[in-house]
Amino acid sequence: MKTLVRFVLNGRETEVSTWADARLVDVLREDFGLTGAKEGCGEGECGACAVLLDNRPVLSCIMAAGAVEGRSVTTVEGLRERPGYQLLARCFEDAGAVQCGFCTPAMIMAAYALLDECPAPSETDIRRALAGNLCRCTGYAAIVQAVRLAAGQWGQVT
Amino acid sequence: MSHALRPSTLAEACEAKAQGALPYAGGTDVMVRQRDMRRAGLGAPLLFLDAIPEMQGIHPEADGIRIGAMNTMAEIAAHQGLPPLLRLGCGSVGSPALRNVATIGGNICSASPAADSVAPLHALDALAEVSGPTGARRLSLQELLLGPARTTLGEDELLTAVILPERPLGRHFHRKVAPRLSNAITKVSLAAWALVEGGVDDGMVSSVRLAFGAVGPVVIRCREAEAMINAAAVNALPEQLSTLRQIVMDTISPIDDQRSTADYRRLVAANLMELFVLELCHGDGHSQETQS
Repeated sequence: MKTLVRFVLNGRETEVSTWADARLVDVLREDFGLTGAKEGCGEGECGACAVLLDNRPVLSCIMAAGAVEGRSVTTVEGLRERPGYQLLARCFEDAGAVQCGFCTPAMIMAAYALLDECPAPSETDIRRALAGNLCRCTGYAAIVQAVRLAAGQWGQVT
Repeated sequence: MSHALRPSTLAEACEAKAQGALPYAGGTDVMVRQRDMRRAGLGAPLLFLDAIPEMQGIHPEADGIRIGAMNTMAEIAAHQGLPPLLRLGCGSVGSPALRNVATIGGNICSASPAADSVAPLHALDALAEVSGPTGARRLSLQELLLGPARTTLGEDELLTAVILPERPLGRHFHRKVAPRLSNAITKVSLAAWALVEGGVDDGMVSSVRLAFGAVGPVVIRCREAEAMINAAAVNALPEQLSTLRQIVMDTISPIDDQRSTADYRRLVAANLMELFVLELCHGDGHSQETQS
C-alpha cells in the first residue's frame, strides 16, 4: 500500500503517493523527473545522489521517502536560480572541473552547502566537505580549485 | 511494504516494534542492507523514530550528559559541550552527507565492532538508556552489545539515549585506521582516555581507559594493560611498552576479513597503544576541545 508523503521540494510544498521505503533518489528521478541526483553505487559510498535536506547534504540513495515527511528537500534543479549556484557553475567551467559530469551535480550540492555555512573555507575545509563525493575523471584538484574560486566571490554574489 | 509508522510517543513505538516493525533512525544501514528485499516489496514496516521527544536533544543531567539516540553524527561531532573523544569518533564515520543523517542510536544498535561511536563510548564509561513498556533501564555497553548485529534489546525495547557520566576532561587519544579518510570502514581503532596528576617530570596516571574497535566481536577494553598503566609514573611507562604491547596483542581477538588481516590488526592495535602511551609521557595528547 502506498502512502502519501508531504514535503517541500525545491521550495514548493508537494506530496507524492509512494511506498514509505522507496528510495528518495528513485522518487525524485521517477516521480518528479528530477534527474540531477544520480545513482552511482546505490549504497551511500560515492555521493553522486546527494541532495540537500533542510539545507544539509544527505544521500538520497540510502534515504527512505517516508523519512522526508514534513522536511525540505532541494535538488540541484532547485538551486539553479540562485546566484550561488550560478557562481559555482561558472567556476566549475573556468577551473575545468567537469569531465563526464556524472558527479558534478552532487559536487555542486556539497560545495553549495559548504559555502552557505562557511563562506571562507580553507583548502582542508573544502577537501573535507567534498570527501564523500567520488570523481573518477578529474583527479579532484580542478574541483577543489573551482570551489576555491567560488569562495573568493561568494560574498559578492549571495 | 504495506505501511510505515511514525509514532509520537515512546509507548506506541515500543508497541509497534514488538509487533514486528523495523526501527528506522538514520536509515543508512537499513537502506543498504535491505535494498534488494525492499525493491521486491518485502520487508517489515518501517518505524520512523524522528517524532519521539525522549530520543532527541543533548542535555546535562544530574548524573551526566544525556544524548538522545536520534542525534546525528554531525550534531555530536559539532557539539562543543561533549567530550572530544566522542566528537572525534562520530566525526570519523562515513562522509559528511552520511553523518548528517546517521544517528548515534543506529550506530550502537547495528552492533558492529567497527562502529566508530562505540569505542569512544566504552572509553567514556557511557551507559545505554533502554526503554520499554515498563519504563527505562540503564546498562553498560558491554551488557547491551553481544556481537555483530546482536544486542540484548528486548523485542519491545528501544535504545532511547546514552548517558556520559561526568568526568574530568583528561587526555584523550582517538585514531581510526582505514584505507582512506572518508567513507571507509575501520580496520582497527583505539579510543583512549587518561587522567594524569602532577607535572611533566613527576606525573602519575590516576585513571585510564583503552577501548579497541574492530579487533573482536565487540569493542574490547584492555583492562590488563589499563591496570599496568594505572597508578604508574608516566616516566616509567616507556620501559613497560614491550610488555604492554604483548598484553594488547593477547587481549584482542581480531580476524582476517575483506578489510584487513588479524596479524595487521594486532600489530596496529599495539602501535596505537604505544602512540597513546608516548603522548602521555611527553605531556602532550589532546586535551583541548578544539582538536576535532
